[in-house]
Amino acid sequence: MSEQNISEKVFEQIKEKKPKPRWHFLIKDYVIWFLGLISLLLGSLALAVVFYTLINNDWDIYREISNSFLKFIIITLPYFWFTFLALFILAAYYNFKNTKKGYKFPFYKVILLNIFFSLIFGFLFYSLGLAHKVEDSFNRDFPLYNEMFNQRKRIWGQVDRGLMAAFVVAVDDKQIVVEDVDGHNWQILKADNFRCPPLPIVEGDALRILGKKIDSQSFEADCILPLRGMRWMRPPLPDERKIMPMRIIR
Amino acid sequence: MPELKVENLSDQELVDLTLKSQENFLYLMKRYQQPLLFYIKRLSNFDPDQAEDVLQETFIKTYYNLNDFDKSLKFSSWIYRICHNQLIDSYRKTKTRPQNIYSNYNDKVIEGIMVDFNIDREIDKEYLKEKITRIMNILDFKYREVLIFKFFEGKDYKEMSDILKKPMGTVATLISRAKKQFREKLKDSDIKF
Repeated sequence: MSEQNISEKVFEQIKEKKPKPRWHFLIKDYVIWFLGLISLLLGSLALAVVFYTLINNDWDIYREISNSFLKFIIITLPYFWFTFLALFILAAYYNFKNTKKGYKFPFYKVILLNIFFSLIFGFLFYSLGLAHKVEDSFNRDFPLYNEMFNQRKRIWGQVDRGLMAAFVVAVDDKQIVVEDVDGHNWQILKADNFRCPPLPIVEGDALRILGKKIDSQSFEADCILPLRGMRWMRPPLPDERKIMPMRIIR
Repeated sequence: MPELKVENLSDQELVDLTLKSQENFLYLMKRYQQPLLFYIKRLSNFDPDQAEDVLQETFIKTYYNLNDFDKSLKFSSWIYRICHNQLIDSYRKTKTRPQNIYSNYNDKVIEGIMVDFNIDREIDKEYLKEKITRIMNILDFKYREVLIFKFFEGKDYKEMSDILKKPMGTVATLISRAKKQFREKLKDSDIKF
């Protein structure tokens, strides 16, 4: 075929046919940008949960959980949310690279920019209280997440090791009854060697209780601290919470 | 429209005219059919029919996607990009490995290679052409492509970046590695530097 014929032949093929309309490409571009933005926002949300998890971690009593600070960090890092964050950063990168001018930017610049915006939106989402809502929702609605990926639940469910997270179901002058992360009720007794500052306790409070298991229903506490995070453990609606007379453990 | 006037129009103007009247696309095709055919032949081992099929597909895709042409790019970069993608697709379909590629090296190309690789100027050019062809045949595809862009097509880094859809830094790295591989192959031959 002569070169002349190639152009003529192509022209015959496209004759009477029109190029794809401009809106077709505009929609494609918008979809790519939209998916990129969604990925960025979901990644930021994951980062907000990472902040939430880290801020509410048991830094104050890490020695009770692990004999080394490094080991404590390793066992309490929110790997699930870091994975989530990495996946959405990569998804945002992929979408950005597929925008019209995305190819001009090197990998590390796109990733750094993505992390920068994830940090900004992550802080914003955290400040707006979205992080705890997401974490609570995952714990309440996805039992698999709650069982497999919630390291704090695992740590504070070790009643035999003397670590218990629970919320108060009843409190009076004589006793405190709590429900632990697995739904078991315990009577909390104050140890003679109670070593923590006194804490006002009301029904519905979430607590970290350190001590030792006495029997299948009783736990002797030598320290009671407020539980940060893990709001999913508590009764969901604040208006369901009864205000009971306060009891100070001394 | 008089022929002479059309030939003086820029690619961009011809694209705009094509969107108004299809016949103008013929001028764009005529402008690019030879350079693109050379590019396809230099890069592939396709026989003339296969090469022309790639070119036809390139033109058809260019036409259908004219509304997607980003005016901040050179039209030549855009159409080479489409051709590059079409060539890769054709490779995947035929699963052939490019060998015995087409070589029509003019003296300017040979001069450019001699200067860039500090090759002894006394060497017989025909002999050198044969060596270059042999080396280009065994270079990795990605390296051969950037060398073809640099020495044969005279593309700069920006154009290569737009054609290959890679950052300019990556293009620079590719060229540097391509030259290194080319130089190693050249050393293995009896060419003096």
